Amino acid sequence: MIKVENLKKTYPGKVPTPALKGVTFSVAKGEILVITGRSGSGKSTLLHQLSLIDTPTEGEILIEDQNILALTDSQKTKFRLENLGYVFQEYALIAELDAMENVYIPAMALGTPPAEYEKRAAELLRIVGLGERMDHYPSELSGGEQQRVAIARALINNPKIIFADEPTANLDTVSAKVVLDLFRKLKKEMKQTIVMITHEEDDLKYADQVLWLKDGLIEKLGKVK
Amino acid sequence: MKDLKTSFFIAVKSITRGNKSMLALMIFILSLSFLNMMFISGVLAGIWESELNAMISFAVGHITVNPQQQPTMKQYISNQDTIRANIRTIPGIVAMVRHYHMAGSLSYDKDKNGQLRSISGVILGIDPAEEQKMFITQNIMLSGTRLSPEDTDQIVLSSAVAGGYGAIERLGSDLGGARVGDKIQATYSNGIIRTYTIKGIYDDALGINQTFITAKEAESILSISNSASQIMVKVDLARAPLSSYEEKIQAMMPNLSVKNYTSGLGSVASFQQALDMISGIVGAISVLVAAITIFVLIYVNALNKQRQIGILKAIGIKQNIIVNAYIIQSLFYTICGISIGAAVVFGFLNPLLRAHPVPLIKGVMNLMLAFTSRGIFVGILSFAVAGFLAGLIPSRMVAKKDILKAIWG
Repeated sequence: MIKVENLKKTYPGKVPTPALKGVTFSVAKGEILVITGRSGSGKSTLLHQLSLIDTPTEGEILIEDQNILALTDSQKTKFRLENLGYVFQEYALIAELDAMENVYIPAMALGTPPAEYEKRAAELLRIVGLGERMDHYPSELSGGEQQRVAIARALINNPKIIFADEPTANLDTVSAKVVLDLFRKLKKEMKQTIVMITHEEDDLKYADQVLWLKDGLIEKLGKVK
Repeated sequence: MKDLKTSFFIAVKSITRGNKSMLALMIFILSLSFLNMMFISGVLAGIWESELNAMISFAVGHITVNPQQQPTMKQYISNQDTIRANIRTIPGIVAMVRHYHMAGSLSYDKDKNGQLRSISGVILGIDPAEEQKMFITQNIMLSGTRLSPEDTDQIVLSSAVAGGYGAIERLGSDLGGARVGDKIQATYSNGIIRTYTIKGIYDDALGINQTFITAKEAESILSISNSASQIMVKVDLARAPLSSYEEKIQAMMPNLSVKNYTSGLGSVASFQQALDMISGIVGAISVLVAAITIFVLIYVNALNKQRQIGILKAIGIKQNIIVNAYIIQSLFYTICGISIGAAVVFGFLNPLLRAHPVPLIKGVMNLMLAFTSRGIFVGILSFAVAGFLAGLIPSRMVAKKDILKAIWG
């Protein structure tokens, strides 16, 4: 599903900062890859490159054998909309939209018929356990609920991959477990490929594969038993 | 189409569920800007229209028929009664007069000591009854009465000519305080000298400075009859455009010179140019104020929401969708501002000023608002363009930011 070859990212500045120094790995379809490591190890940088939010300095990323780094900016935007879902560390919902609207806005942008995206958004909100809170605004939802809305939004366009940047970082233990169980359910029932960052040791048990980063390099890559 | 639909969706949600105080403030400022622009330009156009109406009502009418110019120039229009009878057959003719224009001077011995005070000017020979229907000059008498058709030894002066009616006294420009019943002496350019009793003095607020004797008296001085120096016509402009009347009259009398009032404006036309210029400057400033207001508020709004913009971009929403959403919001504020401003001007101020006129020159000119459909269109269009640009530029500035920079702030 994802093949990464010698990926490098250096942030420009008076003193250029290398954040990724050559990373190579692959992720199979329907797999959960957990990226972990200390602060400053390059976890978020790697996720940003994979999800096309940022552009690497060097290297190659293939998603289903397509070299996504060769795409133009507008093609990347379209690719993100059609193929990728993104769950942010903080509750990244649009304050003026209710839960249902937050979920279906990517589908609307994709041109999905309203009846279809409304139905799917409602279904996804039920899947994430918010079937009764569809018309609630972000300010009326707890942190865990907002994160579940964000997951539903990430799923609305049937993405090939979901990227999640420390989705449980701001959640209490119970809410964090709900979100991670949800990821596991998505993988199991929908064969969803998920790439997730975490720094919680406990979260690693949800992974099929864990990638330990240290100073911009892979320290260890392996399956979790 | 799907992009526009998404932009519209984001814009509507931002407006309906966004900060209401900000929304009210923005619309209020834009309403004031549009109100200011329309009111000032309306007042300036109204002053010009009042001035024109006053000129038409006091001195020139809509159309003037002048003596033959080509191939030989004539001093008088002959057979004026036939000509006027012909003109009267044109539907829409409201009133008509003829004038004799005579150059001369007026002298007044105020202190009865042989020290005459004289002024030069044009003395008009008029048909008093017709004049009254055509011009309002003699309906605003300050003192005395109007001329009667058979008067031959009476004269009517303007307050400016008589002097002493509040005007600043200037040697050589008035008679120093002549009053009704006083005798004045008129010396005409053909050498004839007549003595008249002042029958009336009218309020010359407009400064037309005309002196009147009867046409009968003028004919005796000029030794002519059934003639005129000029025929003036007032028409019903609601019935047909001015040019139509002008063409019809000219067609009836191809040898006479037919002109409309605009050709006789002379230096007054520069007054209109000055008013137009002021109106244009005020309009441009209003549009600029509106544009800056929208720009600043949209920019602040977009900056406050730059994380949200970054998130939208991260989940695959095109930059154009986001920018268009801000443009739609901006146009919404602009349309609301225009609508409220227009409602106040056209629904409140304009009717108010018509119902309760504020005199600019008492009895002559009132403060009124005048608008042309072109002026209104240009005002609305310039506001809409300002709203569009003021929505486009700041939202693009924020929306084109790198996704991560936008999210991290």
